[in-house]
Order: sequence, then structure tokens, then C-alpha cells
Amino acid sequence: MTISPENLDNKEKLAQLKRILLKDDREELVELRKALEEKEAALKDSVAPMIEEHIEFLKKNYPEEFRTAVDKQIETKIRDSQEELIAVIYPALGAMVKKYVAHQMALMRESIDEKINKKGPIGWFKRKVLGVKGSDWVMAEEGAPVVEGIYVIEKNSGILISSASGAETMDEDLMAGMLTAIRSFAEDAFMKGEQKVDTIEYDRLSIFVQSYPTFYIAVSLNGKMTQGDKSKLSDNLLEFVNQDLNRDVMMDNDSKELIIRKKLTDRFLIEPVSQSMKSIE
Amino acid sequence: MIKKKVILTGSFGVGKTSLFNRFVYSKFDEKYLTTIGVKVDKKSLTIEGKEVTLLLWDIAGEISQDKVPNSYFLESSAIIYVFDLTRPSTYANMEFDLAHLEKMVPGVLVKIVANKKDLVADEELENVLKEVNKFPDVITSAKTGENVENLFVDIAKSLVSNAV
Repeated sequence: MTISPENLDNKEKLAQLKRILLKDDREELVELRKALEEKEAALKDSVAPMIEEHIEFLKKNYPEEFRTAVDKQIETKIRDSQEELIAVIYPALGAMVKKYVAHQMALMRESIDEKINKKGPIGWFKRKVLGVKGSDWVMAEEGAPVVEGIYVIEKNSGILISSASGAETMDEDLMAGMLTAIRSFAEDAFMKGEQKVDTIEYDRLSIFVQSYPTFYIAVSLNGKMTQGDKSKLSDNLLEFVNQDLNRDVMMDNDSKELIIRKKLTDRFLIEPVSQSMKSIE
Repeated sequence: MIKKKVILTGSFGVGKTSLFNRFVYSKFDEKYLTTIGVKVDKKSLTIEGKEVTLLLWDIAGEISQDKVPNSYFLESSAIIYVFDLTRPSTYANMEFDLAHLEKMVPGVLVKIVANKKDLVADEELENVLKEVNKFPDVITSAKTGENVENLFVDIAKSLVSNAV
């Protein structure tokens, strides 16, 4: 069937008119798009290497090109925020330095003790006759652990029998209970047989524990202990138990706490915390 | 001064820590319960003119008492065994648990505590009490504080009279 203008309705007539009138424009548009795509591809090929080259240049030459500006910015920032910076850095830095120094001190003391022990008769003479011990002879009392408190605690119940402390601590009854719980936990969880926890260390603090049949003694110290320190403290505690914690004292329920406190204070400390190795000698 | 170790134990979620916190102002963080499984606190009371300090060990809840480290119970003077009136699973093992505690600490004073009374109606309470193997010594509500103080005071009194 031939389509005559008479057969077309208005809508179709309009569409046909558009096709006729816009034919040239449409062709021009297709050409333009094609040209643009060709240009874009060509541009990409030529510009992309330039950008990459520039990025590489910046990577290599950033410090030279921008150093002055960046330095100036950092200087300004530091100058303007000194207090904030100190507040952020100081606690971490202080703790790190303190820990490092303590560790190095402990190593040095052990090393000196070892060297003096190797000196044979001379070292023996200095230690025994002059009463000077190896590391302390060289380092006086630098870095030695300081006894801060000493606690006599019932072995299983964790009840504090007596204590003496040169430093402000938390409630001593609670400390004794929690310490007993921690020991029990550690022994149940990690130890087998008759092994006992003898030292708990945290940062610069140590708690040395010596067990006896019905009670144990915990000594809190500020500073790292060497094996030599542990051995001396252990001997001294044993002597204290044998001489001062006799049956009469332990059976005297009314006043044992005070009696033992006096004995602990007399023997071990407990003046200001500045007491040093003397207290465990 | 008399000092005594008292253990609070029972299944998890029965309200031991709430009873504990009702009675003492807790100084330690709850985190100790999840780390080493115990938290120690104390309360001093004057009973018949004598000062008694209760060292309270709040032990993290376990389904069965034989899961609690044995050393926690050693040398305790009293054990408070708490169960939850609203959860039968918390008193289903009571007989076994009590036998275990007696084995761990022979002759120890044990107080059976039925907690969360505020959550059960009178009729329900009666039914639960018929169900349990052992009648509780005290029925408490840590939420309202009902009988909490009495529980600890009674324990302190018993311990003082035993100490004499």
C-alpha cells in the first residue's frame, strides 16, 4: 500500500517532517562525534605520558621543590603546638626511657657481678672481707631495686597476716586477696606439679614471692631484680621467718599483726622509699 | 580483728556480682572476673562488739562448680551458693555442686541463696521452692536489696560464734 499524505495522521506527519528537516543535522552530528572520539584517543595517548612523567618528577624531586614550604609549615606547626606535642610525646617517651635505663642497669649489674666473680681471690676479698658486693661496689646503689612494701599473707585464704609499707598503696587486705587469686590462677592455668609463681613483674615493678608451709611473703619492689638480688632477698626472708615468725608470734591472734609489722619494719625498711639495696641485704 | 574469706559462687548470670555490689562498694573493675575469674573485695562489720572483716571473693559464674579453679575455695570460711529463681538450669545441678564444695572445703559454712525474688510471683516462688533439691537459706533480691544485708550479717555472726 502506498502511503499518501492523506493517509498519515498528524503525529506521523510530524515525525516524517522531522526526519526530512533534521537529516543534515543528524549526519553532521555523527561526523562530529566521530571526530571527537578520534581527537580524544589521540589526546589520551599524548597527555597520559605527560602526566605520568610529571608524577615521576614530583616523586623524585618533591623534597627539592617543596622542602622550603613544607619545612616552614612544620616549623610553624611545632612552634604553635609545643605544649600539645609535649603532652603527647612525653608519657610514652618517659616510660620508654625509664624502662630502657632499668633494663640496661640490670644487665650492667649482672655483667659487673660476673666479671668480679671471675676475678677470683681479689673479688672474693672485696665481697667477703670488705663486705662490698660486686655490682654495688662499682655502681653504689644506682639502679638497685627498692623495697616498697612487704606482706605476710595466709597461703590459701589470701588473708593478710601483717604488712609494712613505705609507700602509699591500695587497701592491703584487697591487695593480698587479689595477689593470692592471681597466683592461684597462674598456678592452675600454667604451672604443673609443685611449681610456684615466685616473681610477678610489670614494667619497673616487681613482686617477689617466697612461700612457706602456711603462709607466703610478698615483697613489692621498684626496680628490676637480678638473680643475685632474688637470692639475697630469699635468704634474708628465710632468716626473718626463722628468727622472727616463731610459733608464739603466729599463734598470738590478738597482736600478731602489730608484732610482725614492727619486726618487718625493723628488719627490712621502712623509711622513705629511697631505701635501697640495704633493705634487702 | 577477725578476718574471714567468704566465697560467692553459682552459675553465670544468677546475680552474684549484683549481690556483691549491693553489699560492698566495689573497688575493682569487673574485668577481673573475665580475666582471672575472681574479684576480691571486703566489708567490715561489728558483731557483738567484735570487728569482723569479710574478704569476699566473687567468682565468675560457671555452669558447674567443678569448673572453678579449686584453689579459689581453699581455706574459705563460708561459701554463698547463689541460684536464679527464674532459671531452672541454675539450680538443676545444685546437689552435685554442693557435694563438690563440701569435698573441696569439708565442713565449710554454706549458705544457699535464691536470688531475683523481684522477678517471680508468690505462686511461682512456691513452685520453684518445691522443685529445688535443697531449700534455700535466704531468698534475696539484689535489685531491691531485700535480705542482702541480712545474708552477710548472718554469715558474719556464724563465723564470729565459730571463732570464739
